[in-house]
Amino acid sequence: MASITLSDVTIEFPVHNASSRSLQLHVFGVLGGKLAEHKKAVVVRALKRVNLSLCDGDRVGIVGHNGAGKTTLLRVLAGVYDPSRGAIRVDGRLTSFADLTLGMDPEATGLQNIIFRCIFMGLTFEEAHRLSPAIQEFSELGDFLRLPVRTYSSGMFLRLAFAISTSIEPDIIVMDEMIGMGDARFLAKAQARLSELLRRVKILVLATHDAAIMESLCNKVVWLDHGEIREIGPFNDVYPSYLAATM
Amino acid sequence: MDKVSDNFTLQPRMSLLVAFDLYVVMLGRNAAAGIRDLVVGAQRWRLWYLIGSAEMRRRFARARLGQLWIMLSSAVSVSVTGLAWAFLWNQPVHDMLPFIAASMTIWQFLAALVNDMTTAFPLYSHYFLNQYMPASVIIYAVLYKNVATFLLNMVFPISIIVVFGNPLTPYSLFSAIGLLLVILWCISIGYAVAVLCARFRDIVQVVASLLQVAFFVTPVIWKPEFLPREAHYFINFNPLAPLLAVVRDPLLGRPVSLSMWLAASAIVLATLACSLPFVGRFCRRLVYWL
Repeated sequence: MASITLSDVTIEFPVHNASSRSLQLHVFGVLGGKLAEHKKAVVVRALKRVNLSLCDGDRVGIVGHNGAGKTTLLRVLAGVYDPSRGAIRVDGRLTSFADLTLGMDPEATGLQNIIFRCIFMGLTFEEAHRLSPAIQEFSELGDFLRLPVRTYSSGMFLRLAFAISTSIEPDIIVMDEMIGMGDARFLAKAQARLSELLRRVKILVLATHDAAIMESLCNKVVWLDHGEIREIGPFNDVYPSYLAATM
Repeated sequence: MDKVSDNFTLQPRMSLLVAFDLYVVMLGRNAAAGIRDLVVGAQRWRLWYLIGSAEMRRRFARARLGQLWIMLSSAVSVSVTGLAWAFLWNQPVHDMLPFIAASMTIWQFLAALVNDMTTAFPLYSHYFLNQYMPASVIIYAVLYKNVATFLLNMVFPISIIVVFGNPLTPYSLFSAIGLLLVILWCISIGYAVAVLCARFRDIVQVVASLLQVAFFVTPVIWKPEFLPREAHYFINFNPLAPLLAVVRDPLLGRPVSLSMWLAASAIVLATLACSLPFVGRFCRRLVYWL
């Protein structure tokens, strides 16, 4: 049983410029008073009183124009930002596909990187070693796996990252844009594996601008507008009104 | 008689209790958050072990001698300084060289660690921005890298010590206890420095120049005995002096007084007490500053 509950979540980013980053100016701002205008903190409100509750079976697509707060919302779900107001509760093992290469080291070999990436997704060393053969096989990189990853082409590197990242079974997956990679043959294989994984996972949250992908994967659409949820509902209800509003 | 002695012993104890209560009431929640972050981070040892060793690999992956380079350069700088200062102070080389070799290697460890901490969070920000990770993982990663480097670098000073006629004895093991104290101190001061430098970028330079000054006022390249009596406040009020002494002196076979051990422990405790609430208050805010 996996679930996500956001209640009244507000996220505000302080905007630090060169002067607010300086302790010296802070001190003199307090002492002299003349420079006190530096103390006026500029704040960007990325999310405003967001309420959202998701449970098993939910396939959520997030839409919104650039800067509407999609990525911030995904990061809040992944536990990156502690909300300035409101509360968030996530039950279940969550994996973020925002950076498939997180934890990988260009100087290490492909085999080592399989272990590293697995550890960063929360596995133990034993579990990682157990998964490794299947990942090696799926990646089709063969003897290249014994070379440092920095010798790989970017396509090979992403292929390895994809093979590792999609090999574990989390309860919740959070994705920023659909991932696709490799040459035509690998792409088909990767897509089959990914959609299989996304079908099995209990909750999926996906931010994308691609309407076709969203329609095929998601049973619920969240429309974010200036950090607020404008509408939640089935694709056929929300997406057209989102399109109409942006036209 | 009884009454007098009662009053006499009770009062300082009472005020300590009051101070402790005040601390718990005013800073307890933040301190608890700091402890929680450090514990959760320690449990994710796999992450900081990997981040720390990746950093070491990044530096030496394509150098044939690898980590040996650092050991060599440390050995050269330590022995040249040791010889020069032995002549300068008119001290016997067999006495001065092991002393300087040991203290400089320990100092290099401390300085490199604090320096690394000043840039740690901006440098490793990509680890935070896509998934949850306790901030202390980065602190442990920097610590791991520096302790590993330090232990390798210590091979040279220890062999110098043995060559110049100070065999290792069971007493030398006390410096391992000293090292544990120093590591605890490094975690608490390093974490606070790292948080502060993530917010205020001009502190990075301040810390670097403070370290340089501290190098000269701490008995690294001179012995505490060289100081005239009236200048002893130099070491009595220098928190780094006892920390250095409890690691170095047992190795050299120099006695460490009980008061030195107490001073070192008190410094570690005081630093922890100041750092924990600060760190606890800001460890979850940190990611907004990156």
